[in-house]
Amino acid sequence: MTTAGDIINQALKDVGVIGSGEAASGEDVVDALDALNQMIGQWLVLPTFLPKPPFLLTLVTNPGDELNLPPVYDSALRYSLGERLLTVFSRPNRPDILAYAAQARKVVKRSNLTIPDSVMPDPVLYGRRYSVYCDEVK
Amino acid sequence: MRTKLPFVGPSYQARSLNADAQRTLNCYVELDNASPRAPVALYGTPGTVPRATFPTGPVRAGVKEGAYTWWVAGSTVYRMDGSYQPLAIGQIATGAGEVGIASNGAQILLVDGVGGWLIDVAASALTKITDPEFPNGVTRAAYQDSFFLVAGDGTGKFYINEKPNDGSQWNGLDFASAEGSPDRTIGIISDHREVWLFGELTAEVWSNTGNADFPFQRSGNVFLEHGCGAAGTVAKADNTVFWLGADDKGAGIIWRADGYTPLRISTHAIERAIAGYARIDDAFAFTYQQEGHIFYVLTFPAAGATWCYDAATQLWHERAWRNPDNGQLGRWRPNCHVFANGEHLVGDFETGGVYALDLDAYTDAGAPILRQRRTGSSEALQQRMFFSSLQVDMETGVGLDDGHGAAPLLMLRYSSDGGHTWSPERVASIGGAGQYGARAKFNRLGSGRNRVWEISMTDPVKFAVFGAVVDGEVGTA
Repeated sequence: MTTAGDIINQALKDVGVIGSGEAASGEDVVDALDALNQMIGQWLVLPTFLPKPPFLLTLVTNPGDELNLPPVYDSALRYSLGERLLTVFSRPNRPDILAYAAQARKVVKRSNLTIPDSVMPDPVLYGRRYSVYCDEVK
Repeated sequence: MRTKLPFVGPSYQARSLNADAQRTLNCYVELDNASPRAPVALYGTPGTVPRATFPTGPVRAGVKEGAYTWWVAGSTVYRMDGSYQPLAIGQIATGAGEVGIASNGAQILLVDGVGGWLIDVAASALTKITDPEFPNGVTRAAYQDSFFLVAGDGTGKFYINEKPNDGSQWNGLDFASAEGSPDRTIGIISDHREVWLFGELTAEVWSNTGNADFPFQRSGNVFLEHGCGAAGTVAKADNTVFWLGADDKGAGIIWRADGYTPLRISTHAIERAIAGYARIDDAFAFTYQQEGHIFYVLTFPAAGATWCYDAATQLWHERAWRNPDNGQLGRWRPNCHVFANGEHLVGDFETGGVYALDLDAYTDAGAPILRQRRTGSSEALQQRMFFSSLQVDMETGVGLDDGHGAAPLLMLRYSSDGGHTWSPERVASIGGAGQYGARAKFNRLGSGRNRVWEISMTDPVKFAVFGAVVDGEVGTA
């Protein structure tokens, strides 16, 4: 399972705060974890960001915490966090990260979308016809 | 944004690394103002190629006279011919420590603090000076105007032999005292037919007046208020005299004489390093010139450090030998230097090895040489900088045909805090033999406000660095 630390490290690399093979400093990790939790906090009140059971979106306490989320969340978290880290680390704008983040969030929302089942009157199910003119089953 | 990075420079580690963390190890700067491509370049220092091995070590002193070079290794004195065949010709009393050596053309005088010996060059014979009036405690020797001059017996005196061109006869009255100051005379050297006498606190210059009783006399009012911290560091090159200084105000400045005025050539960074050594009185130096670079090589044996000043650029670099068994760096192995047979011959400080310094050799007698360049901190008004790539501008395609060095690698580390903590090491290929288009490029290099770059190489291949190009952006705060 992906941990919060994995997401943070990937986002810090995307933004260019750390280089490949480099580990983030403790301060950078704390800042990134705060940004991640603020973002998750906002997602928690948006129904389209809530995963279907048994998955659960929750705030993160430690970077080592595993995320109980389907894999589709990984890149949404990574790039959306990267978006926020641009501000945290005073990075000039990175349109590529913004575009990836928006795209990844769209995919998450689509994956969470539930199309309601249509509700039909019982008789329709037994070979009779519904008349749209008189709104009756004949 | 892509910019050229000031990458080449000397060793200079300031009291605060944040101010300056530069290190130049086993490579030296060459200036070429006529080259728009590379006005400054960094070249690897010479490797050592074994030429001979004496059965005894360390190699303590050497001199060229006649068709031979003459060496003291351990307590044995050797003659070595042009094909590097050694011949033992006798023994002196001590087996370690510095040996004063000087030649008058026909005789070579050796002094070791216990006695004096003469090599008869024509006969290749070593004899002890048995004249009871020879000042046995002297440790330094020089030659000028048919006289041997010796000093360093713990007094303020220096002595000369009784009759010109005969180092075997000494008269107890043929001495003089450098008495401008009551300090002990520890070092002596003849330069431009003048004798420089270095005391612990002051120095004097004497010249030959032709006086029949005692020909040497102090030159007018020439008196230097800077003495010498280590007798072995007095060396001449570039038409002047160099030494590690000491006086009643402090110690640890390296001087070169500008006329009779000491000119400080050490930097605060080197003086800081020297101040950190437990002892400096054991330091010694030799000089040599290779491809127009006149090097003053200063070694601190107890501290295990070697510093090198290049008179051509007036810049310092460090030299070190990397122990292949444990990877630790220590003093550079050469202990003394003789230019003979068109080669720079150096003697090993531990073993009986004699090596040639060769700029086209890339190992220390087979052991890898660690070359390293660490830049100063680069910053952009203390805003965070984001680095996407760094390409070290260097000669590539220098790999060997096979074996170690066939696929040479350049290692990179960087620090974002001025040199206090470092990233993990990365490697990039600098190209096998003939792959001149190879690029030593590193990607995704993180961010920081005080960025220091460090490249290292241990492969036995040519090392020539001209600069670096960095791709990066300055953040907004």
